[in-house]
Amino acid sequence: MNTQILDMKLKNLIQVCKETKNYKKLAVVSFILTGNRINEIGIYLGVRPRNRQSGERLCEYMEVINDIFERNLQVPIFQKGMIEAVREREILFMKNKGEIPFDYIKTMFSLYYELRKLEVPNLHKTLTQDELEEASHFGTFSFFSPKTKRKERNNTGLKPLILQKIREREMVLKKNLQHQLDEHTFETALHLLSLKHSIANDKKGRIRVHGALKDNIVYQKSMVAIFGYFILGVIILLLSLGIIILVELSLVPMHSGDLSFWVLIFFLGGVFLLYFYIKQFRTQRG
Amino acid sequence: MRKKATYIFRTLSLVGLILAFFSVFLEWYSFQVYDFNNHIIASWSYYLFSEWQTPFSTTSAFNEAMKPSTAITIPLILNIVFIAAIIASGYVLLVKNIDQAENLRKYTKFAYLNIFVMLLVAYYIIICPLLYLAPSKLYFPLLSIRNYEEQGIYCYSIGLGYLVQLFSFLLIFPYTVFYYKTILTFIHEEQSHEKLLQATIINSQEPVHLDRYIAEEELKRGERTETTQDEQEKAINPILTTFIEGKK
Repeated sequence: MNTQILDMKLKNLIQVCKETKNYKKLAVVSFILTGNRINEIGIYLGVRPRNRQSGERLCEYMEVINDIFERNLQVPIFQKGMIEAVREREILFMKNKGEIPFDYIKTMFSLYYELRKLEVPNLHKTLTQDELEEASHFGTFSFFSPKTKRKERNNTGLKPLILQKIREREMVLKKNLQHQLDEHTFETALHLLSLKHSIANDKKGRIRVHGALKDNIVYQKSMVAIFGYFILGVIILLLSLGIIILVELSLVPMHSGDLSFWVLIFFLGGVFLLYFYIKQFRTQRG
Repeated sequence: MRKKATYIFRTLSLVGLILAFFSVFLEWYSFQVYDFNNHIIASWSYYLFSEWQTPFSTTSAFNEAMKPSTAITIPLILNIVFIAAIIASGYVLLVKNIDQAENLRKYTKFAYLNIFVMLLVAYYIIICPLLYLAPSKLYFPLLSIRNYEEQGIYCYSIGLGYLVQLFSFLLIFPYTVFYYKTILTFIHEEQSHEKLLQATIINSQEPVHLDRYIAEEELKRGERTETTQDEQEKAINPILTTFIEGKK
């Protein structure tokens, strides 16, 4: 649902619930909206959805997300104060079956809007080369460009220096993130982390950069198909020429003796190549 | 080898486009008449731009009489569009290399342009003979008929332009299909991934029916009846249960 429409409806609901004094409904809505937002954040960050069926609480799920990112980046997604506030209200909400003080409902809504402001990157999205270059502000990263020569890329002499540079950059980003969580910085930090692992773990000193299509393994495999397309082109051509002559024969049957030779050549060639194409390319795919 | 394959077929496709470009100016179909001493007595050649042309002077009455009566009416504008499309497609092949593609969506229009050129070539080599040659008794691809009544040998044959178009189709086809299919495959993959993510989010969300809640409350307010605590409990309980137990 569009956030503007949602806000408008929410405003209406709050208004009408205030008039009817049905605060319990507001409490439930505030928890559903907050839960949904936290769930969305978790999924975008690549964490599993909250397991409501097994009774996983909101605060527990927030801790799971925090735990994952603290271990990898030493950056919490949710501030501890926020988790505590959710915990306190959730416990009371469960215990009293929705009956919580009005102030608590207000805080839940403000927490929901705080979470809405939180900008998290979609980690399922593939980074493009532009984003990568933008993420790496210092000059050394031009060295990673897939356009550079293989000779340069395999040069391992610069490895410790690059790692040091990455660590320095990482520290700055971490400090920034601890101060304020921002989508772009977060994405950069994550990418630096994967880059660091890539350099540190690859014994050959190669750095894997995902950007251009030519680096994609699926694409590289699909290149073989181009030979199949060539044969397919010949088949289409031969069969089409055969059909043209067949049509011609139906219009002017008196020269069928001379023209049938061409029909035979084209159709035989077409059928033979079709068989070859199916054997070589279609069955391999299956 | 794989990387070389795309490079080779890209180059071949470029050669195909160059051939297609020149084919427009070459003889597309020819009709000649020889006497029994093998002397040429009538000759007509069809060019896509200048239509029927003859090397004989207009004073040759026999040659004039032998001019194919039904005109091949390939629209001139189509030839111009064909040339423009070939130039544009050549530019795409040279500059917009799919190997370097990062945002494939931007390449979709180039893929369609390549397909358009390929279909135009197919139109010239498949549709035109069906539309214009066969109904006019201009035989395809080659035919020699001895006419004893008129003491002549009638030779019908496709021209160099047509042959060049055949080759250009063969050269253009593989890379064009590969270009289009790659874009289609990778964009589809990207879309299905995004769709999957959205579906995961939607499936894991708790439904919140704000319209219904508002309507319920407005109904209460509208009735102007004093709702008891029990009645309020009754209305809210199903929503609460859903939230606590995680049922949808």
